[in-house]
Amino acid sequence: MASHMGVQTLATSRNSQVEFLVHYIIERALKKVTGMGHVADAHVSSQEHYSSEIASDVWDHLATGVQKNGRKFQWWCQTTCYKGNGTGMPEPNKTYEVRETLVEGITIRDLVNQKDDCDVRTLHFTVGDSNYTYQWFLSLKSASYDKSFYIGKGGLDVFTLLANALQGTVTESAKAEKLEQCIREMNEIGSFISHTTDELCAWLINEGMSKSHLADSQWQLVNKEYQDHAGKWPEFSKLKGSDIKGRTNRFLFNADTQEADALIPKAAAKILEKKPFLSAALSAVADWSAFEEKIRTLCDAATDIEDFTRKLWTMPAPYHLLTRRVILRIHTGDAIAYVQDRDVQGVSEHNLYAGIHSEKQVREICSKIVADLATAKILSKQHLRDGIFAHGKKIINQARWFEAKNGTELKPSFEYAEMAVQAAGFKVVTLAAAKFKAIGYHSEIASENVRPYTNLKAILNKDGKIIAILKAKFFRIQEFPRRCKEEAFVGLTLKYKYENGVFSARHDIPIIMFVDMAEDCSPPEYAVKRLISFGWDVVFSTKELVAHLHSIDQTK
Amino acid sequence: MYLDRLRALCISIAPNLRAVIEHDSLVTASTWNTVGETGKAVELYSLCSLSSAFSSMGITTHLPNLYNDKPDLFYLRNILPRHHGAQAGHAAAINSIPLVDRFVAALTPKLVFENAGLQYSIFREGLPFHLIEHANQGNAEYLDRPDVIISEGASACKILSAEKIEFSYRCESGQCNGILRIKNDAGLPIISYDTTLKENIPVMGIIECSVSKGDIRAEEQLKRYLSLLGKSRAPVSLLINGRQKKCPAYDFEAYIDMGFEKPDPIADLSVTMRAFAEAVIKSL
Repeated sequence: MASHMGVQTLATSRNSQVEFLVHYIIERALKKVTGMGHVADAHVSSQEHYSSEIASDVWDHLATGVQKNGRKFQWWCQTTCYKGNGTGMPEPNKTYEVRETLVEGITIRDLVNQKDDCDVRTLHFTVGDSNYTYQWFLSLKSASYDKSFYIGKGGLDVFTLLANALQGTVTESAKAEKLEQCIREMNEIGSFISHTTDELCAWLINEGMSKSHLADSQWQLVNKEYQDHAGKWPEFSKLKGSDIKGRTNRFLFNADTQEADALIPKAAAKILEKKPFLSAALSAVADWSAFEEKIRTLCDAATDIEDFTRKLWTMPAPYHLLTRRVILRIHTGDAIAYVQDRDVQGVSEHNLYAGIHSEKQVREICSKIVADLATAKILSKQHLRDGIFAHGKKIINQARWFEAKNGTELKPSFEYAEMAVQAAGFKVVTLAAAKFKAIGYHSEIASENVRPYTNLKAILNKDGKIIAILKAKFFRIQEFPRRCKEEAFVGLTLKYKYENGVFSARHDIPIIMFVDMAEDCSPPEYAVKRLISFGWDVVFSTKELVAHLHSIDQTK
Repeated sequence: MYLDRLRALCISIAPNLRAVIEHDSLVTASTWNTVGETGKAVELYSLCSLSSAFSSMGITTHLPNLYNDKPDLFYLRNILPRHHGAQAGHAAAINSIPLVDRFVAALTPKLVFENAGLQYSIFREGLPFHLIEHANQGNAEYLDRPDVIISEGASACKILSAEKIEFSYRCESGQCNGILRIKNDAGLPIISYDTTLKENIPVMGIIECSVSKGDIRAEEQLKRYLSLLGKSRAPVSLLINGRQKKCPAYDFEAYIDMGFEKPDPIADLSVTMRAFAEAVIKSL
């Protein structure tokens, strides 16, 4: 099925080259300071694994050696790439990666404090145009890593420059030679290398590898949570996933289901309500000839393929939910560019299929589509119509299958949890209704504007008092560690506040994460312990959730 | 049940591979204890059948020592680990098998044999030496990998440190050697490389196992294999097909009854495998 995930292949070779560049820079800096007598036995390795009871993280680079004063040092390094896009807006997907990076930086702080005989520091390299990141990330990163470096410049495509510089090289030695050439020529890549090397050397020699005190303070918060929970972890061997998401999907799409839980059909109904595409897809596929008739009529009324495409794009609800998906995919079985890379102002992955677009946007989108169709030799409106007849059903079915499982708006786990909590006598309301502002301390450290967290609900007891904040999410086993990292960030920043240079508890309301997962899923213990150590109360079933709520209520 | 029978057949026709075939672990589960995914088991069966065919011709295939010590590695493909952090599931892919072992497994053939004074190697699902030389010649990387590859020559590898592994491949027409960085990388992690090979590594035979591929796809795939691996000489090709559709483009073809309906579903294969093995030896 044509998907938006194909860009991943481009991302990996770009990241691979950037990793090499950063490796080269670190090695060059170490050679320099070795030559000056500040360091001995220097060594750089990649993909170092840091593990602790609450971590199992891969760090892009690790530099080690011995300082002039005889003490060893370790520099753990992470790199984040910002490729940017034509609209000039930050990449919304990037939020997840930056959260992971920050959590990794805070978690390893344990090592920084542990080692008596070794100075451990964390370094972060940002490569690309930092205008494409949320500005709060830059502030918070400086507060979570000991030293940050920036390789890039506004408006500059450093990745293409790097790819050009390294073109034709296969071995690391050949790549290193090319970079040396860049330095000799002092081109853009050469300047970045030279400048970053100098910065790194200066940090060692002049700043004594200065530490970030805010990073240590954030670690103290985590450490306290960890100590409070030590010995009271979930019984991992007895865990069983509720699989609300799986069961809801199966209920929606399989004819025969043995589902005995009355809340599952209710959750399914809510999904269909919230995702009109799914019900539209089911209806269209069930009565395909009626759908074809509509397409045929539209084609007859259109003047040419551009006009036809625009008519298809702007069909009244719910049909445009179907036609947009079809015409975006019909030209290829391979990757479709991420919509934010299509550079149409105001069109994002969130409104691509369902949004109402302006005339200008529709024209822009449709001319790109017509261009794509031309590459598949679909040149006339009749060709397009026939293509829709021939492939439309398959495309819609595939999209339905895919989107039932993915997609940020669908939250069967959360719907179910809400209903279960309500059935137990509590009220579940939006944060706005509870007058609870879900701001994270990153908005207090950064001077930039940060939006409050969404995807959270407030739980009120019978007296209307807010007793907990709830989030519910499905965790796939392959993504478990990453999801825990992302949510860990949310937990810590939500629970604590930063004021006058000090962190303290923001309020005394517990934040609860309902972890929905497959029945036979065995979550990695360290990932769950991290989630808990970053402030969440974690439950795996609504039974547990309700019991926990009752016990919180009783102590109030 | 089908897989159990296939496993037993493997051992009976290739007793020299008994230990690795019988070995049970998390890694072997996806071959022998899986539901619905019989591809890997069929590939292993082909390997055993090939070994048996050579044996009937008086040629002994040997199992490299590595697999006696670490039988899990026999089940890994001859592909360098290429998972990268940008891809989904990366953090969870911190594997049960250490990365250094996965590199050694990628660089070590599954079986080796000798004929008329020359060494030959049998690889499964990949030939990293060929891939590296191909890239060195300025070509874009290829992803096509026949299920079984018989090449002329012998390989060796040596772990230099936690991050570096040295490799070499020697054949009649030359040799190549280099050092790889032991890391998961999207690109080939080549630190250094030298070669006296004029063309690329000579491939004498390829086997493709296809449970359900149609003849058109199988032929397209063969064309790609021949253009990548058959520059100096065309390898002898065998298709093991789970479908009745014939693919005459292959030099040899055997039908394997995936439903195990015939009393001896593999009989056809052993006869054809012998013919294939003879053709490979003849071409040497």
